[in-house]
Amino acid sequence: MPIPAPDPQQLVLQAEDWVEYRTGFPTLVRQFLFRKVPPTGWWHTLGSSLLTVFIMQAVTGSLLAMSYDPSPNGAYESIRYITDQQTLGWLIRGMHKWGASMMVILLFLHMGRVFFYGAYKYPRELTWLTGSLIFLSTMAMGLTGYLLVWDERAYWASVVAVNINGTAPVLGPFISKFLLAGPVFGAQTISRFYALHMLLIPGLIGALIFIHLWLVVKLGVTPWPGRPVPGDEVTGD
Amino acid sequence: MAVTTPRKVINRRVRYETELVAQKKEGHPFFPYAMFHDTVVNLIIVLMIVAMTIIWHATAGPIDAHHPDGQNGWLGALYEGKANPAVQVTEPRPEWYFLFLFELLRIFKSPWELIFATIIIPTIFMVLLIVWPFIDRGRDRRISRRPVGMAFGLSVPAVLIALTIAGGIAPGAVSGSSITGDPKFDALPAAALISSHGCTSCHNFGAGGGTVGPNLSQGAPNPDPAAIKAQIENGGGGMPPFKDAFTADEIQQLVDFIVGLGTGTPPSG
Ligand code: HEM
Repeated sequence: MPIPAPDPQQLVLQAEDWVEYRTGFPTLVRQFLFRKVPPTGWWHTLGSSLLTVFIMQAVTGSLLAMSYDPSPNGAYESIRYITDQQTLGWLIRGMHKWGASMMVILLFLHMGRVFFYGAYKYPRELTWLTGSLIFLSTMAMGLTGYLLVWDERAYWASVVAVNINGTAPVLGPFISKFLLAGPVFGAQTISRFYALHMLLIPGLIGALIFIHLWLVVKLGVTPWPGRPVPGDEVTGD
Repeated sequence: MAVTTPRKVINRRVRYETELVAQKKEGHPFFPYAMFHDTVVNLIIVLMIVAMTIIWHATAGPIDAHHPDGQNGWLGALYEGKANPAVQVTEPRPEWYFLFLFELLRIFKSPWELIFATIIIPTIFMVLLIVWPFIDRGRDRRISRRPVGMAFGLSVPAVLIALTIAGGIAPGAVSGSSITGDPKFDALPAAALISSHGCTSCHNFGAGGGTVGPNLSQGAPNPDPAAIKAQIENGGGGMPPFKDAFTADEIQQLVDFIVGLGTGTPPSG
């Protein structure tokens, strides 16, 4: 008896079933993609742009890390090598540099949109809270990344930043000592800033973004508050 | 023990859940409806980043024989000269998104006021940012019903933008490689120490400098060498301690240097 030719559609379905049975991912993806959102508009795109830029920073940052030398003698030379000699190194470094500024701008815009929509109100307090921690961590990324170029501007701006930080009572001197990792800016400092900038803080931000998005999907997107919504008639505080 | 849910919480839950049910019934599917907007904006954002990179790279040039300090393009230099901890030749200037803090440091000058700029104001803002949803608990999301929230939401960005612009156009703290404007003083080892430890970001030694700490171009406000020594070692009034940053000899050189600025005669040796 001849074996019937396999039906391609059946094959796809069977493959999906195979994955579904073992992981449940197809259902998850479907629930994510086809969940209902209220009428949204362009202002609602800022969160996803932040995610895109964060991923872009992770990719360009990893590429930079492959050629970057986190030492007082090598840092500046490796930055010049990346910028002037490496194939498309300038593009990768530039995208990382300007992506950082874009990230900060987008953060402010996204926070603004969430604020004016009142989208941080019940029950989305924790979405805002994780977001504000992401915001502060991103500023810390800016601070630690700036020094890594090890040119004059970066060096002196960081010296001043760490000194200013040291003036804060109680924790200030402690944090400054931790950042400097020695009496003056040197090899220890650059390694420490590097570890914070490419490992610790991005890991933290990644985890926070995951929780943030989990909450966004779980709680649903807040509709524009301009019009009456169902549920309004339930008064009382 | 079972949870007893307060009436207030039940009201909130009912309102939220009614809204959510209606959304599930009448809303649009995220794909392709919202995802379309997302894709368009994400593409524009990435293109903008690439465009800025190209402009930055095309208009600025590398450091070469003709341009020993690099060439500034429309969006700044690709890099400046290598950091030399021994000489401070550029003014310390942070990334644009820290300029507002920088400007606060200019507004609050004296050591005790500085506490405002470095600690009190930033801490209040950070705490306020994090706990805002727990402060503003009103149920209404409509803009017209949130006067206090709107007052905050409009004034905070306005102040931040104003501070950033002011910080951006402010003249730099230090103008040249000279510390005091007097070559006899500048040649002393203490001048290099002052430069390398960023003292000029807060103090003026005669050739310009920060206004955060007292002007030392005519010596210290309290000319007593022991007081100067104690201030350098232990800091205080907003200044960090530098005891660990210098050797005892270096601290003595700095004290002699500042005393010398007061009397107008450089210390010998
Ligand atoms: C890398 C940083 C961030 C990423 C990737 C991110 C991502 C997102 C996304 C994809 C959404 C849903 C779509 C939208 O409304 O744009 C969202 C919603 C939200 N975000 Fe963020 N966000 C970030 C930072 C922040 C910050 C700094 C805050 C506030 C301090 C914040 C507060 C919120 C809130 C409250 C919502 C719920 C909006 C609603 O229900 O309508 N997020 N975020």
